[in-house]
Amino acid sequence: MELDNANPTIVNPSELPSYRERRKIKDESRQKQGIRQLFMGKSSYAIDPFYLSDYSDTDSDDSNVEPIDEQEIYDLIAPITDPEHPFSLASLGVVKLEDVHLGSPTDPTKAAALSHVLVELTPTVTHCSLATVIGLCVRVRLDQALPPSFRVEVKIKSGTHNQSEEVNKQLADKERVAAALENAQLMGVLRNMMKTCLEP
Amino acid sequence: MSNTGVQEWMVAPSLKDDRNSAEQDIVTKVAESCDAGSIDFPTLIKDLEPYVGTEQEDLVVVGRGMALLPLILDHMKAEPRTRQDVQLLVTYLCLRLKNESEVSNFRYGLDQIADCLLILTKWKKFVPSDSVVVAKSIFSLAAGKINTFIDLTPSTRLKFYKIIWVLVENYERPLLRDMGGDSFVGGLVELSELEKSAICLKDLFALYSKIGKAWSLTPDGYTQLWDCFIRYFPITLGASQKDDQPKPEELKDLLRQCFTANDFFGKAAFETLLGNIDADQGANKKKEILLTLDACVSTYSIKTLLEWSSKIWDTIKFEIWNGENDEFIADALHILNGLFSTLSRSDWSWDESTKFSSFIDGVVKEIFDRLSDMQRYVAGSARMLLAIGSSSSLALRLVMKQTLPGIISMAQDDHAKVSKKSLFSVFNAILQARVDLAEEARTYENSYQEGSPEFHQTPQSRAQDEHNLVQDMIRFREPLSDLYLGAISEVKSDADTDSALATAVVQGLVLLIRVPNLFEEEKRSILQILNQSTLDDSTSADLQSTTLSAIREIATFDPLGFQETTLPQFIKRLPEEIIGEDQSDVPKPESELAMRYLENLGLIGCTSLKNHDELQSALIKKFDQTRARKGQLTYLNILIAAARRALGLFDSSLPTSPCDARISNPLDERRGPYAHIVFPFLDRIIGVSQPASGSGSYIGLQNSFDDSQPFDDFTVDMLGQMITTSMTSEFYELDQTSSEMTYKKTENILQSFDRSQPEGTPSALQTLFRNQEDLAIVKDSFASQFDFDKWPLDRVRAASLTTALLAGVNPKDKSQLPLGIHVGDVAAAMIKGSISRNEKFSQSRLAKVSMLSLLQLLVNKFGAASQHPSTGDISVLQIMLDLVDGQASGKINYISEEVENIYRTLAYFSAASLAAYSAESATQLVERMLSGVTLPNYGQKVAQSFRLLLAPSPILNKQHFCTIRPLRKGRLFDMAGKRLIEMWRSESSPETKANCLVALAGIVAYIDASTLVENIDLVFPAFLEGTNIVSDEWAKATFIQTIHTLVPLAPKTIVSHLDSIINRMTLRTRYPKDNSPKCRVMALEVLRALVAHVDKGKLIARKFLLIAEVDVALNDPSREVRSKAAACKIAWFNLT
Repeated sequence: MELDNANPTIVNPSELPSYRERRKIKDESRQKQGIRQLFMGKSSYAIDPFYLSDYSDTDSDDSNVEPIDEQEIYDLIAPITDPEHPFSLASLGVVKLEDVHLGSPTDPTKAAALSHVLVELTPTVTHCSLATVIGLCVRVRLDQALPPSFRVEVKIKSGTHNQSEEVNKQLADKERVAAALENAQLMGVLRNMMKTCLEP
Repeated sequence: MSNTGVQEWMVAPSLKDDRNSAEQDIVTKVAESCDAGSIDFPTLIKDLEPYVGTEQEDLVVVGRGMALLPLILDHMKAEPRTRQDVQLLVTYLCLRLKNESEVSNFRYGLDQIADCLLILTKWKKFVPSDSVVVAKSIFSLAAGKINTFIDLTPSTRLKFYKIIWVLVENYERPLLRDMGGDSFVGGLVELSELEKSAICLKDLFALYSKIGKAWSLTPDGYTQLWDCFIRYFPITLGASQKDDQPKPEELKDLLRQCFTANDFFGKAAFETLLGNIDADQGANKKKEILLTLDACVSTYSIKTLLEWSSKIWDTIKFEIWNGENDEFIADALHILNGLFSTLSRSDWSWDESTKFSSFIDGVVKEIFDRLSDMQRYVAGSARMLLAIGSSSSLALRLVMKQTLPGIISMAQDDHAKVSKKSLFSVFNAILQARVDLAEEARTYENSYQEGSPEFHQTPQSRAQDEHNLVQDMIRFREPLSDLYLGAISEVKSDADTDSALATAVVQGLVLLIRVPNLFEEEKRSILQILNQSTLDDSTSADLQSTTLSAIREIATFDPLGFQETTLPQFIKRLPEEIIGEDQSDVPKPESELAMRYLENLGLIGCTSLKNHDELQSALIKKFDQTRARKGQLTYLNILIAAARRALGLFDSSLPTSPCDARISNPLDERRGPYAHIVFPFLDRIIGVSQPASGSGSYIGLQNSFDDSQPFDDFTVDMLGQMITTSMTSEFYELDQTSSEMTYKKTENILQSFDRSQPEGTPSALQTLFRNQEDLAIVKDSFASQFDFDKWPLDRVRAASLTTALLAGVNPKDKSQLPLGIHVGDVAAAMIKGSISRNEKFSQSRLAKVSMLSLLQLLVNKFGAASQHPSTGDISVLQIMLDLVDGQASGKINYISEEVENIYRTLAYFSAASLAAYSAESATQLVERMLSGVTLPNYGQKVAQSFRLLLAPSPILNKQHFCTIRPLRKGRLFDMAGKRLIEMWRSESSPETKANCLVALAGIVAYIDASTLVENIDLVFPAFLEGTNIVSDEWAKATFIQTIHTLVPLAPKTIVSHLDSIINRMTLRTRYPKDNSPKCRVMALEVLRALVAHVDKGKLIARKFLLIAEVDVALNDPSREVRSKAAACKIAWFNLT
């Protein structure tokens, strides 16, 4: 089968923004500081119940709350594999952090308040025939991974695809999306694309 | 028939009993008769004739008869008296081999003939001219393509090849004289034409190589020989390799030796190799071509190479410039280096106007043109210049002459086509070549042997070459210095500089220091610049890391540079003082700075023993300077932490091989590994004091400045860690008692010090290395030094050094015993101190921990549990049990803190006893712990203390020579785990039930899953209930983690509890406020693991309800939990 874009531009994964990478770097830099670690390190007897004062590691105060943000939404969809190439949507530049928009609920005090997520996709070529499949996969991924209080909208970024209006219409049509998801063959393709999201 | 034993031999197979022994007797008897001369070979052959002669039709009989001959020859202890005897036998055997009359049974027994000839040709009485007869007979086996030879087994063929090897090795002259080299080679070619057996090829290749190297043949002869082996190139072996077969690499190497055996092969070799290098072929073939080419350029004569050098260059250069495979590029560079090394050899009369210099000039000019024109060729070109330059002084001089002026101009030109970074890589390559040559010259000089063929240049001639090279290099000194120093200041001032440029410049500066006789005067200032870059805050982190690595490298080859420049420069940059205290978790900026400098200094200083010693000595000096100022305890602690860190870095970098590495002051009687580092700190921190109130003296701590600021827990902890490192270090020293160069483990500081003291002096375990003067002051109160209630806190802190010392004592080393302390007394004192509610102990965590650690070491390593204190009549174990029982029975009224202390001490005591597998004491101690679980006010803490029993410990470990028995885990499970489950079932109080589960978690967390699987029906209900514990998150997380481990190991049990598991896990994720993030994460991992390991049919029915629950976790406050929830949901969503 002929590919829509046989030679796409690939971004080095190490240059992609990710919470996971940041955590890794932080851990490494901590390990490097030998004297500092000796000087500021915790006692190796921390397991001794008689040594510790009563403590609790439950999330009892608001300071432990890490709200969902654009980076986290990006991390959910970045690893999705392109249906044509063995690269992630992030490495191909189809999804970008700056194209993930998160709208806060108008009244956050209400439990049922909805947040709105808009993801704009940039196909690798303007005639990409798989833009709908990619959009559908991003949408399914976010529908699955975000809490029900989030409304997800996936669009093709303006000016990046010849038939963006048509594709956007399909992606916004809930009934068409639901019908597509009943198609076993299509779901097989989407599952394959999302396999990489399951990797630790 | 004469009595030669032939007849007995022939009937021996019919013997029923002990046939082998009978045969052996016959052979021995005949061999002895031959040795004595009573039987000669003609008689033997005559006797054998009926069995092996032309008339015999039974081939089994022929084989049997022929088998006797090699056995007799092998058993003979002396050669026959006359050469005629040997010649007769050789002739007889050769006749059978040649078989000109085509007797059918002569085709049998060839293996035995080969055995005989292999023995006979090695005999001194073998007639040299018979070598031709033997050779021709063997060659006749394959003559006329009758293929008799190739039909033989490989082992028989191998024997014939070995005979030929013996002939070539020993009878070269008769063979060449009577047969002619070409004729011999012709026979050998025909014989081995169809050979494919690896085991035979090994000998054949050696034979070809030997003949090619040693024999003088006509061109036709060499051509025949070449044809013999070239058809095997490149050699490939089948997948099924037997043990007795040669390794592929061995065969490849032997085949390469055939290529290089004679210059005559040069033409054919280069045509074949160069012609095939770019052919469409597998990677293995190409690799073999490159390796063979490398062998050829390193071995052939200069004359031969000169004919081919241009063609070799034309082929190899593209391999390097355009190649994509790093391994091939490295091989090609090696060929280039080999070619120029051979061409530079002084056994060929060169001068600079000869073809060599014009060839090298042409090559280097081509490289320069290429690198100055296109960026992409620079890296390959630089590597080529390194390969050529490092081949000889002359080559490097020509390289420099041709390239340096041009590259220097380009580096000064802002509009050059090539980046600066790339140009520095070219300079670096040339400098590296110079360094490589200097190292090679040093090796050459050290191993030079006059007259040896491999040393084709005299030291005087090399010295002249070196002199010329130095003169040539000096011409470029100034521009190189300007370029590198200019670039480093540019790199430092521009934060956005490409890190690759910075790396190239820094690497170049290291090389400038390494190049001999070039920057001798500037070496130190270059090092200062690198030091400065590491020290400056404004330097980028990348550049700091690059310069740090460079300084480390310099410190290894230039220790004086470290001692005279780097060390003082770093120490000078340390703050004079640090004012104020650090916050609990954020150090002051000055502290951060000092720690960064000292950390880097430690990393540089651990590069050698001498560097490390100098660093430690500088640290102690700085310690003294700082101590002279008031309020500097934080800084002093940073300095001692730096000493501890550097010691750890150095000790862990010690090579495993023994070395005479101990440096100690011969005047200092206190010796041992790191004594010169540990004792100065000990002398400054430990001292003899008097309590403010009361009488007596004690060994305690000195003050950091005045009474207002004594040394604290951290100071003593660091010193203790240094002491333990010194005690456990793998240091060796030369054994002075042995006449040979043998090494013995160095005595540790404790052994060494105690041995040096006058008789009757207490061990340093107690005295902490105080001198006799100090000990005289303490003398009256020495017996009570471990009575901690009596002394101020600093005495207890100082006693933690006894723990540190004891941790390093190896109880299995008899030379370290007796200990020099009364084990029972000290252990009892530690129990007493540990349970004491004396207020001073609450001020020092170290004091409490070190008392418990000392107790553990005494119990585990020195059997303290069964020892009695010198003034008591009950054992240490009984003291502990009585304390617990007294509290439990209410006979003695303890306050709350004391009760907790009792149970804490009990847990530590039990852990030490259990690790040593002391059956009786461990059982009694754990029994008390189990009873403690039910205590209303203390039960929870006692339950939690079960996790101390098996958890990895900083004290109870193998590095400290403790006994850590693996079986203790299963034993504890049987002894306490099962009891706790029983108690959990039978107890009615919810608190006690929870305590039982908390205690169980402390055991389960550290035992093998296999033990749990064996007892799965017993334990699983408790585990499930454990996931609901509200009082202890650690225990709850442990049970969830354990269930996660069991999902793949016990699927049946999991299925039978499926709903319970799902309910409990979703309860964890539903209520984030009541469950720690760790519990929530693990719960989601359990739910996800179910998808992978449980029958899908069982899960599908629960799918939608579960997904709804996981949706709740998608809104969890913790990002990690949400991430796990998303992964869990997708796993369940995909269930079909």
